[in-house]
Amino acid sequence: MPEDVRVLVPVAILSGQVIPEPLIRFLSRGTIVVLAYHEIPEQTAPEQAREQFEPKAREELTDLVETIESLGGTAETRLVFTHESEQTIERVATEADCDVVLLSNPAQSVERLIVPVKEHISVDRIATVVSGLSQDPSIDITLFHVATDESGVADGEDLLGDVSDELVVRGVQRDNLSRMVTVSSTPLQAIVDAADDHDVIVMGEEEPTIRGRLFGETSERVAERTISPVLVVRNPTEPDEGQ
Amino acid sequence: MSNEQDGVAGGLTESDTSTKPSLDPDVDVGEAGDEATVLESGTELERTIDLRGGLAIGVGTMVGAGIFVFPGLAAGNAGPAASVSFAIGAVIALLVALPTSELATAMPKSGGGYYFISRGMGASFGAVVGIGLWLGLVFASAFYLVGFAQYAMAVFAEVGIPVASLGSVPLIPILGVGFGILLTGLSVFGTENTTKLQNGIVSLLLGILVVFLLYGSLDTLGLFGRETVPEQFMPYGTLNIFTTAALVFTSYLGFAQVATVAGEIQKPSRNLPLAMVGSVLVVGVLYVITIVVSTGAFGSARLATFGETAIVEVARSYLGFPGAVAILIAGLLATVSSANASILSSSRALYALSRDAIVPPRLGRVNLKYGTPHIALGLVGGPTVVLVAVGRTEVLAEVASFLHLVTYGLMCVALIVLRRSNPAWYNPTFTVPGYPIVPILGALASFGLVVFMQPLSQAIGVAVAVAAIVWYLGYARDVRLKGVKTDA
Repeated sequence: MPEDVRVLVPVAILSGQVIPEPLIRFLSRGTIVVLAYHEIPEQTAPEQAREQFEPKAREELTDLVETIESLGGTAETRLVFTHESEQTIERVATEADCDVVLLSNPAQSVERLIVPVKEHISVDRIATVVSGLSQDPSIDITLFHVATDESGVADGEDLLGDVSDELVVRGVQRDNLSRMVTVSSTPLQAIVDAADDHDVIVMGEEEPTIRGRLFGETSERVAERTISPVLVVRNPTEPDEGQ
Repeated sequence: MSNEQDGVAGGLTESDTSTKPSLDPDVDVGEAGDEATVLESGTELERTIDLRGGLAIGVGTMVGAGIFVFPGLAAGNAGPAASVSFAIGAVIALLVALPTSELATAMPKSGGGYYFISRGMGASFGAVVGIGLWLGLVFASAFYLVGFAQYAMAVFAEVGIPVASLGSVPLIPILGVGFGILLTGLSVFGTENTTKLQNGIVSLLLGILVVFLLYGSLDTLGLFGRETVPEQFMPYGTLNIFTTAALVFTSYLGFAQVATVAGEIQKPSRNLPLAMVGSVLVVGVLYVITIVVSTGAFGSARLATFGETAIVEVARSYLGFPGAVAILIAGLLATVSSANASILSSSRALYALSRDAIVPPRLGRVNLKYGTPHIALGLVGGPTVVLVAVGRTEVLAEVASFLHLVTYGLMCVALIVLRRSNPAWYNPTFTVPGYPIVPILGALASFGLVVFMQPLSQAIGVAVAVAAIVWYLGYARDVRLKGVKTDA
């Protein structure tokens, strides 16, 4: 029996952002936590914006929840007024105990998933999320690994074999799974290229790195460079991250 | 802020889309957590300012005046004993910062002094303080802008643009007004967050100042063979130490600005007191050293002839041309960041008043396109540039201090009132040490310092206070602060 996957769906409310219906339908196999946020400049106190925009924001949020429910999903909601949406997304993802965060892009349909896997450490979490969301035989899943040189190909195939086994144990049909190992010195570009003929990307969150701080996480950069939504599987949160 | 809110806690744990948002913001004050405030409706307000950001607001607002505008003027009034004047200012600021910290941790909401006093002492005191704070910050902004214009002039002089040959054209007001309009415009239309920029500017400023003051101190002590200008410590007598303290108190008008963004500070119970007390200590030490170093370089009489930009000449005498350039740049940055911070705080004060309908609620409206409170910002920027055009540095500074000191004194009184009435909602997580001595001394010192100001400044200050009372009686007498119980 697959576990319940909790998906954080951040929505910039009052700005006309739409979550595509096929994506909602796909995510509805888990629990959707809608994070409606309104980002305001720091000249404005959050209370000040809240007073004025809360009723309208609530209205939009209610409409969104109705849409989700009409598509068969269950939704929890949060409404936040903030100066920094990234901080808010991070906080709510932790508080609401979410497994995955959606970086939204348009999606026409959700039939082909690509799951780039980097290393063993994230296999278990990624398998939990993928099996929780896609038991559906109509969804094809490509497991994907980028090796930096030829010597890494065998390891990559082992890694994907493990992921594949984990998924099958968790109830995914082996027929729906395919594996692909590519050799490239630019993993990011390789993922973006491979994502081209897929609808949704599921990938692990990275450990914080200097590179990540400077240029943004790989998942964010993938989301910027593809037209597909990216689901970022979160690392288990530290008990106290501090400031 | 009544017992109604005590019942709020139960509704906070789960958000519920069917809950109607409360129409009365004052009742729905929510529960202040470390990372966000959660309102009764389930809506959350993110806290985005960390300790460093809080210190940057405090230091960034204050440092512009004490170091970059006042040393020449203060030394001219009090001699080397001006360092004592700055120390007196620091002590008074600390006596107020401690009670303010307690109030702010009990009410970590936007609005700062106005919010504390209106909740502690009622709408009439609140109205005087709120209007006083708005205009006090308008005067302060104007003061910083005049300081900025003087630095801009000094830059022109340094690069050899012959501004003096323009003769009768009043360049300082023109520069100040122009920049005031620019800053107001940026705060209405600018949607880029400038917090990181502000933090960076403050770090850069502190870096420049530490290098300069460290070198200057060692040099003053004779380590590099310099002989300081010998001088009597109090050439102008004791009274002038106090009048100078009253003049330069504008240099300490930043710590309470931290309280105006109390609703946005993370871990408020820890970070609010640290940011307020910490920023006063940091700038207080810098100010005292600055005066020692400056008077050591030139002697106070000569220092006074350099006027507002005296510190540039001090840097030149210690560190040569590069020192002068570094301090000129620092002066431009410091005065702009102080002016900007004051304009934003002032608009927060107006918002807090409009929320309680003490001024028309329309004034607090946020513009949907830019997300900024354009009317409030206009009501700050407009009067500010008028004052820049007509005002004199000393009077602008003193009126700003006057209006703030009244607020500070009343905040100390509000703390005592709240402690004595002890309403159920009053649960500060930081308590002032030395109660009741500290708030009593804070109140006495705040009101006492006003006495040492120029008569013109006192007259303007009193006029503003009277106008605020008239406004309250005429417009807002019927306002009942919802949630405030008189029989606490």
